[in-house]
Amino acid sequence: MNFRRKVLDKIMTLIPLLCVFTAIVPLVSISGYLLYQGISNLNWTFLTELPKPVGEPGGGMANSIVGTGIVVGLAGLLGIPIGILSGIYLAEYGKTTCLGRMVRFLADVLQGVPSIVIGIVAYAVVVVPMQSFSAYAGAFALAMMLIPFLTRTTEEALLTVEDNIKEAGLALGQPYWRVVTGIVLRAAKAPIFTGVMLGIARIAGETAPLLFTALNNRFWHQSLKGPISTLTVQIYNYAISPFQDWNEQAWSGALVLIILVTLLNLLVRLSSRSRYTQR
Amino acid sequence: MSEIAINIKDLSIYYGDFEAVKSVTMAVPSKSITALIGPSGCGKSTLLRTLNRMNDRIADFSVEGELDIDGENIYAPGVNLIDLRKKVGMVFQSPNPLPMSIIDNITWALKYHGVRRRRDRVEIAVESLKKAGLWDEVHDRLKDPAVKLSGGQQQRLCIARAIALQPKIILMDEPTSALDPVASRMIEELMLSLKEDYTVVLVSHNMEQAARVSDRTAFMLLGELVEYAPTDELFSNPKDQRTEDYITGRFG
Amino acid sequence: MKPKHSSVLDQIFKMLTAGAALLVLGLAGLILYQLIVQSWTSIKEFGLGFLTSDVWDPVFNEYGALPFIYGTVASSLIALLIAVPLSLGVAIFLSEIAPVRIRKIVGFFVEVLASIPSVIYGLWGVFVLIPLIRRVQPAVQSLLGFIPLFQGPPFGYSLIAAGIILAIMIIPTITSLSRDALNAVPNHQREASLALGATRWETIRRVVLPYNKSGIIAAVMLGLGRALGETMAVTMVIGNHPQIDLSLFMPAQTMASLIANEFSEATDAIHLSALVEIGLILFLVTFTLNIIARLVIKPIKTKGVSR
Repeated sequence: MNFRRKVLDKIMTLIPLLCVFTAIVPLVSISGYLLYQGISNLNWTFLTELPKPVGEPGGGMANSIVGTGIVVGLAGLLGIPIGILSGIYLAEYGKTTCLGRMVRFLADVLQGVPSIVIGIVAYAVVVVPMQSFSAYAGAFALAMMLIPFLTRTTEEALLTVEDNIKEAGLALGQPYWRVVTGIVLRAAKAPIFTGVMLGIARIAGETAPLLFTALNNRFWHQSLKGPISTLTVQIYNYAISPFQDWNEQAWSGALVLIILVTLLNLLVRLSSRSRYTQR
Repeated sequence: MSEIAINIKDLSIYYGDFEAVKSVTMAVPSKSITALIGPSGCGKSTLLRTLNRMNDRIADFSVEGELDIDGENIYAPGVNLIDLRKKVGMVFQSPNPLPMSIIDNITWALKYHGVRRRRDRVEIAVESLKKAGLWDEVHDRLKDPAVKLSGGQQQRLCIARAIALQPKIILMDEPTSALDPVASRMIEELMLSLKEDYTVVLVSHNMEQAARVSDRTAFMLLGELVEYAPTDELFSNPKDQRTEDYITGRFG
Repeated sequence: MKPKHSSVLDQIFKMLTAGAALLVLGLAGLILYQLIVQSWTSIKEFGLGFLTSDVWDPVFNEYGALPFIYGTVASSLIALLIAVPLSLGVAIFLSEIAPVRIRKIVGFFVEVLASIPSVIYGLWGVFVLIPLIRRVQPAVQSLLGFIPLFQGPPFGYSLIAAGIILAIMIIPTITSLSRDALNAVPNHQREASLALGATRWETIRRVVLPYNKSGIIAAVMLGLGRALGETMAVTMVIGNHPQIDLSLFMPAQTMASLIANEFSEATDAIHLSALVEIGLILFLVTFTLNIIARLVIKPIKTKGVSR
């Protein structure tokens, strides 16, 4: 083999490696800044107090943290059952049906809809009739994003269940619905849970769909029918504001957010396999 | 003469246009073990699965002829599959314990079949585990996941699970093919004790096993029932040349 | 004779699940319906000229989408130019070069990049990337300032900032899909090439990459789709200036960032309607792109398996 080809081969082995390092640089930078900038303001005050009036230093993001919990929780309440049920349809009844094929395809494609567009739809469907920004509107928007994702992850989870335990259930004189709920769902418990956790982590990090649905609130929300603060929107507002104190708080808020997302992801890894299924 | 548990009359089984089983007629006596043997693809498993209508799951499956259990054609319209499968239990080739604890494996189906109190369900489960010869090995760990058991133990659990529903007939589809010889022997002995209370129909990949445990044997080839006779007769004095070729190992 | 049996509860359960599936279908319909209905006023008012007009004036209620179409396309193209080679490099590294343990570590890092919320990218963009660009810009301009592409004051908030951030955000998408595409290439193809005396790079270039070209194209398309629709990180660094300018260093605005900026404060019905129309355009473009990409991916999955 001639020299030129050998050298080219060595160079082209190094270039992908270079790409890897280049891609990792922003990750390192972001993590570093998050930790360094975020930690300085992260204290008990930050986690438990409301924002102070404009210009006054101090205060916290307590309402935003709780607000995210509420909006994401409501979104889950709406989105998790629908997502799991439609996933069950796709795996157990809709493998070859027309409805099944369409839903499977659309669920994939819908995941690519820009989240700001989802916000517009939620605005039209919830905010306009209610004549008010609200936690419900924000939850509706997030649920719209959660459902297609959960549909597919649940379907994939159920498809991993082996046919022979379904047969066992049927041979025991059980109706199909009981085989699905009692056996298949139970066997696929872990991957379904994984899907739910990942979905929740994703929507917890969303900002755009909340900008004009849940809006924001510098105080505790009065009711779920009114505007509510969320961590992501608050980070955004503080980041683009001219006040340095708010900028610093944005980093702390971001650190809290990333910790939340990381915790959810960790929960997934820890509960990775059910005791009751075959290894 | 003992009763007939299953009466098969001119039964043909189709997958779409393909005739997998061709016009089989045979009567299975109750409280005995009847074995179905034959090379792979001969239709023995297909025939077995017709007995509890497990084949219904397959898309273009259809039957012609009559299959009577307890005097009723199980393929008549309006037949209740739930009741049928309570009467006719099944044990599969690969042990398939449910994703639950050992005790729940047995009580889960009972709940749907009307055994309301947990205490009653547990009592039935314990009885079944004893009959299946598994009680001594698991009585102190009933809440453990069933998948922790060995292959042979899992299969005995599946048998216990089936007999807990108090069936009349137990179908066994190559129940020992996934097990080691020691575990297989245990299952065979269990089969012999089961025939006192149940009618057993066994599909066996292994002729010697059929010869060891069954009272009557049916030999199938390419969907046809070639010969059906008391086991001793079939193996020592086969009437059809094809049967003789098979049992002497010329093919299959 | 083929009898069937189904209890009432079986039917109910089946219908419950089918109903949920129908809701998913309904979701897609709802999105399209609302976007069209809410933008109808604007569509009627401005017609096709909406797409070619570069005037966006909420005061005089004259609206045109061109600056934002430009901003979206330009920022996404910049992102692709940066991200595609890098992602392919990482994908090749993961699929062809790295030993198993390193594969897992790098794969993990890629996943982490993918799970960082958009607003955090934006935050980093505002306080790290923008100052960096401001500092680097004079140096670049002293060399290349004669090209219109690089002219303009050091705002920092610029098209290139958006392009860079988008690139970072779509790298995980393109990388993991490309890696899947490369992994789908059966090993015997590689072995045959190596047995014929080719180097590893030659094998990658002549055998592996072309084998699943369409998988990689689909990966790029999905990455593009993500870039087109990305809102928060872009709106925080792009300057939100609705004008078309040839320079990379000038501020701009994308369709998504426009909506994010103006929607909650828009009071005129026509203003809102125009914004929704922008959303409709964005939706149609990303929707179509996604459909094409998925149609390309489906044959890939079977192609890899059937060998």
